[in-house]
Amino acid sequence: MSARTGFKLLPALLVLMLLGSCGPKVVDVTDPQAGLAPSGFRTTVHHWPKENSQALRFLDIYDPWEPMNRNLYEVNATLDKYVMLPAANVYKLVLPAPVRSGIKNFFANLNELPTAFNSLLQGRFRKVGISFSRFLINSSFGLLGVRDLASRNKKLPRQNEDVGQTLGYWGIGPGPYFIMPLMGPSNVRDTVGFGGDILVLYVEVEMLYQAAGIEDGTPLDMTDLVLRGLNIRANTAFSYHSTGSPFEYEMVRFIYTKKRELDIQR
Amino acid sequence: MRTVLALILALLLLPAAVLAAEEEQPYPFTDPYRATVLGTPAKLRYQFKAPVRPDVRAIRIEGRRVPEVFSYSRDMFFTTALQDHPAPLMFVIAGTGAEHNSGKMAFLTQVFHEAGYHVVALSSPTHMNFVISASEHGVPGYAPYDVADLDRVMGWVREELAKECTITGYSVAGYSLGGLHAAFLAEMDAATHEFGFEHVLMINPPVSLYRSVTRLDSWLTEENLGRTTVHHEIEGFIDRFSDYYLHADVTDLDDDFMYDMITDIGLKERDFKTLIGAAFRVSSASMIFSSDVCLRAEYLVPPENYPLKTSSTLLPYARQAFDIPFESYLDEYLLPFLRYNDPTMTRAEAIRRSSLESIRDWLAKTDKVVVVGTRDDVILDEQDVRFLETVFGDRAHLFKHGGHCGNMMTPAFVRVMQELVQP
Repeated sequence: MSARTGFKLLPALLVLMLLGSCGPKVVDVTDPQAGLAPSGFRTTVHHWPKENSQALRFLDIYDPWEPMNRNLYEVNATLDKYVMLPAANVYKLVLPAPVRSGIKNFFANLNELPTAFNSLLQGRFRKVGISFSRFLINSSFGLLGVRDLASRNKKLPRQNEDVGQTLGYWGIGPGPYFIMPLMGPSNVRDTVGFGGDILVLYVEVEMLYQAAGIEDGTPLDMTDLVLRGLNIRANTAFSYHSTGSPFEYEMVRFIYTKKRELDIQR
Repeated sequence: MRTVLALILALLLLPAAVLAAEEEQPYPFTDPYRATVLGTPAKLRYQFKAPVRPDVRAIRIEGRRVPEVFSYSRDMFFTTALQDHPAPLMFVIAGTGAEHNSGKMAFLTQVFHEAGYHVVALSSPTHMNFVISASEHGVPGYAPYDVADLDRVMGWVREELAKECTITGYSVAGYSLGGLHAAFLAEMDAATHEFGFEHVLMINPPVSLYRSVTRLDSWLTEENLGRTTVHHEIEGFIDRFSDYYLHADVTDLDDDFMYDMITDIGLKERDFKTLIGAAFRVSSASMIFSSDVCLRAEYLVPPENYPLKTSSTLLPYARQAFDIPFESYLDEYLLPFLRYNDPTMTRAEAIRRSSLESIRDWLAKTDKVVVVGTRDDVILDEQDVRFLETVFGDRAHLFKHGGHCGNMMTPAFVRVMQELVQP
């Protein structure tokens, strides 16, 4: 099998995985007692919402598009449940752990250059040095990044910088909270930043194709996109509605916002 | 998003994940509050020889009325891990507010699968998914109702699984509140012989649901906090966690990071108590809100705000729900509901029926119910520990230290669990 057919086969295999997968097996049961029919019971003591309540103040996040965001959150949850999560499970079942960790390292290594680039834009030269050294070490001795040798050096921990963080570093506020379709929690600044990240990645990949003498990168791009997605989902422990709380949206909104704020400060 | 989960875990303080262990070391925490929050450090956890990949399944009750805001919770989810040969089936019941596949439940699923059982793991009847999708009354926290719900669900599961595997017998186990449920299920079964349970294992159970939860709630009051409020305390924790994260040289907010953070940050006993109390309050707030919305009982949601939709803002209800202690839920909601169904119900009777004391005589004479737990369990007082020791005698295996389920994942604890239920 030539490399080229391999690249074409991979997306086809992945599509097959998506089609073959579905959510959990559901068993229907009948029980007239358990229909949760209105009981007519009402409490006489009420704890109804109060204006200007000080409780759980830290959960307040600027979210003027909340009704739309909540709907998008549900759309994402459904997509995740029926498509991404089952596909990631098949991915985990089909590929042995060492192969998956190789893929994870490979993409993490490709991300070093955008990180270095963003660190540069922020004038953080120590971070530029670390990311760039990591890229050089892992690309050469680490078999094109499949092995993460650089992390063995305690002085070279992986850095994480993206365009959203760069914008934040230069004083641009987060703007309204926003649930990106498919990608999930974000805000206006980070959504713009996400566009920037895609652009940076595109430029990087084109440069790599040129260096490798590849003329038509389309099948590779497809494979890259799908594998990247599977890699991210398979390495993400979170799943929608797994917190057991009806207030998950509020928790996720707070944690996303807080973490981005801290990452920009770091 | 992995980091998002890690932070949620930090807030709810549920230790998870498994790493390689070598030699067996004694359980490291003698402070029960610390043990409860930190659990078993990854390096000290029991390692499964051949971990199984569990499946998630669901039950859907036809025609059930589910509010739109909870449509994602329409089906009742549960976990199965089956043997590829005929075997007995172990039902495992989660603790307060916990889901069928939470960290502790995933661990127990492996424990009993390794012991030779088909395993079915069920969420607690106090978990929102159970309330919304399966509970008959939709009002959790009263043991007889919750146990009847579990019994019904277990019947459906049994029927379904019998189609695809050979089941040679039944057993039931549960941790925390799930342990108390297991005992009640066994007592009920002794009369009906529906399952004919062979082994019944209670892991760190409360003796009285009421005494245990009021104890947890007391840590969010003046008794523990002095003049400050729980809201100030939580904001304080967030600031301390944030500050630690800002100065730590890490890239992954994994369990090791969480563990290091909690140990490095220098929390005191009072802080641990506050965190345990707050984690409990988070799950009870979820339970109360879910119930209120299902019943339209107008406890948290005023009638003009119905129906709640997917797009509805919920934070104002979270603020209110978080401030409701169990005692208030009991007096203002649960008890009035019980009286609505049965006007003769008294407060004392409702509390008694949610306590192992109500089936004391049966527990004392049956030999199939066994207990594994710790003497310094933070949900038990002296009276409760004495109850377990006198009623169960040799059938109670109480470790000296471990807090509430803190040492549950140590090899010593796993060995006891597996020996006690050997098929």
